[in-house]
Amino acid sequence: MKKRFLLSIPVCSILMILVGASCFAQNTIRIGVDTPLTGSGATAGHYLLWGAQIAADEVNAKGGVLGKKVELVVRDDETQVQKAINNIKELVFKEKVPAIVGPVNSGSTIAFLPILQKEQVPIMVLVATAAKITEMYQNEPKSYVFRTALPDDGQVKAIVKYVVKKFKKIGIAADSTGYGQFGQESLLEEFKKYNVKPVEMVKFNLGDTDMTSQLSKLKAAECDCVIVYSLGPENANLMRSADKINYRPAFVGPWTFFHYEVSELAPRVSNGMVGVLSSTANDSDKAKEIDEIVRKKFVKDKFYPFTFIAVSYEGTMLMLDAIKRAGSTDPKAIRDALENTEQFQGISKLFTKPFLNKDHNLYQAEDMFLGVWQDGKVVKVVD
Amino acid sequence: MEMIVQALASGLAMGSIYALIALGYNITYATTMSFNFGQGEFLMIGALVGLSCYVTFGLPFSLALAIALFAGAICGYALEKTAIRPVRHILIAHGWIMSTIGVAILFKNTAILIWGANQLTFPSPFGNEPIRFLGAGILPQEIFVICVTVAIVALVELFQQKTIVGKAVRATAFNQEVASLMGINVNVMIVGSFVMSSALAALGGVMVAPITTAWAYMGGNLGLKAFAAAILGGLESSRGCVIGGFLLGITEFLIAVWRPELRDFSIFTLLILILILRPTGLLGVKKVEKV
Repeated sequence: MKKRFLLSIPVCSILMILVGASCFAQNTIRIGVDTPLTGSGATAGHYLLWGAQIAADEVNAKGGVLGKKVELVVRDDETQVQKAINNIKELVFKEKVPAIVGPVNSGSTIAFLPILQKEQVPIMVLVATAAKITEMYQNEPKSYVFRTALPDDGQVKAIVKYVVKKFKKIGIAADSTGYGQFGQESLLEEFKKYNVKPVEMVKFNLGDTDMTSQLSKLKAAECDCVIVYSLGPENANLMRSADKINYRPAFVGPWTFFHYEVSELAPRVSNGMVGVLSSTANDSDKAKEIDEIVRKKFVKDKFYPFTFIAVSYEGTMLMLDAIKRAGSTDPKAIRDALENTEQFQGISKLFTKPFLNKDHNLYQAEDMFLGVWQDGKVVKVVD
Repeated sequence: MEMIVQALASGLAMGSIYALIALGYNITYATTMSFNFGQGEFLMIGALVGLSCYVTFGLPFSLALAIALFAGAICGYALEKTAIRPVRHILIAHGWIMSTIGVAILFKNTAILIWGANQLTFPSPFGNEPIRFLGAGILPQEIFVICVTVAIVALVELFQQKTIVGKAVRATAFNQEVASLMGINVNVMIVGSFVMSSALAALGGVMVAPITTAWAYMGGNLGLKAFAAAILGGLESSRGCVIGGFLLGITEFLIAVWRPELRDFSIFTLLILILILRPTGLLGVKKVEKV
């Protein structure tokens, strides 16, 4: 009898501490982050995380949201669709976060969106760009999908507008993932409007290091312009393969043309590559401030694409601002607050009623412009 | 057509790497009836260690090569000690399959911790300008890879046929018990074979990294394809493994000219066909040798 009584004291104390600790743990606003930190998408995945982290730190320095600190619950999806789905399930059902930001890969996003729409948890898509992502639920009364990443249909519009003016025979090289294939679809749809048809289209896989056979096909079709739709490492490997077979058409692509791996190419190889941008580090004082933080904490002197950090920062800020305006961590209330955003001061632009349009995209085609690689630096394209 | 020439050139270069790794599979299989399923990861270790030596520490390429080789050898020794020796007596359960895969996963994740998960550029010491030849471009690094592989294969062949130690290795491969009765230290032979095969893989890694970029995930696919090459040529025959490697490389690139997305698919289909039609591989007939 005595032994059992003595045992109960430590057990009770431990239970009390645990209960007390869990109450303590509720004192943060938790946002789920799904992003690739390993695999092909790792570079972009880190840009996403840094942008989100900078936003969270800035808000916390000003006292947090609704009196609580912001905490990012980060999960690595390893650039794998199945892992992304598992992460979202974990974040929604186990961690019970009220909102999600991320990820990078369009294929993964499209795969797990049904879960979020069904469970009514809002997501701010920071880097995945496939047009389908915001189109999926845009005709429902309440879509839980929002995006700050530059949507592909806008990027595609900018690319096609530039390309049909200057080039006669156009080829497309797309990767086999959701990003590449949906991107190719969007390109073809946009080309139809100009009554232009690409003369050759080739495919390659993530992780491929040699694209000489695909490029030889494009060369045989006499393409004077090749649109490349893939991620940083593959873009770089494709450029190297083109250099090997001495094939020098104009290369045009989406914002992945400014991924870090492309900056590692010799200027001889990267010169003339044209890609899509929405902002640069010199656009405003806020942009310069963020650039400083990124350089100090993460990249030092290495090149990095400012746009990725910018949209991740803006998306996270929008989400946190919506939580503040909703006045609670109820996911449905957060969604409504997001949709009803009156004004948002972005890094270099003021956005008015950004999500009251049907497609919940912060950036539209007119917000994007083109940049070109020159001697290892990125310069705006002037027409 | 220049596409075929390009495919042959790149295929020979890639085939050399497969040949080196496949030779490693052969060396350990011959002596111990087991091999390192994680051979690809040793390729990765060689590549990343070589990258750090050459780029981060600025050492000359030949020194980086030597250090990478050494790193591979040490890891091979560690592998034998931890994953092969303790399970050798459980041959029927083939415990070495699981243990070598386990070590491979360990190495890969340690590499991710040290070097990160991104693809890292390895500047070739011979420059990045391709040499134009019959309408195709071949990198100087690729020519280097082919030459070094041919030299190494010749050296290993020479070692096995003409030196006393080589003969001892072949004796151990033929029959471990009788070899030990003849006074050959079988343990040393076995450790030596693992050290040698790991060093070969590491060498392959340093040589291929400037062509394919170095990253923690590079080992899996290359190791698997080299394994297919070894099966194709015959695991027991060293010449078979090497020929299998070159053959696989050229086939892979020729198929890529025809249908790029079928590249990996066709290689493994070829492997299955060989296993059905000629399970011992092209050159894998067990020869009776007089030692």
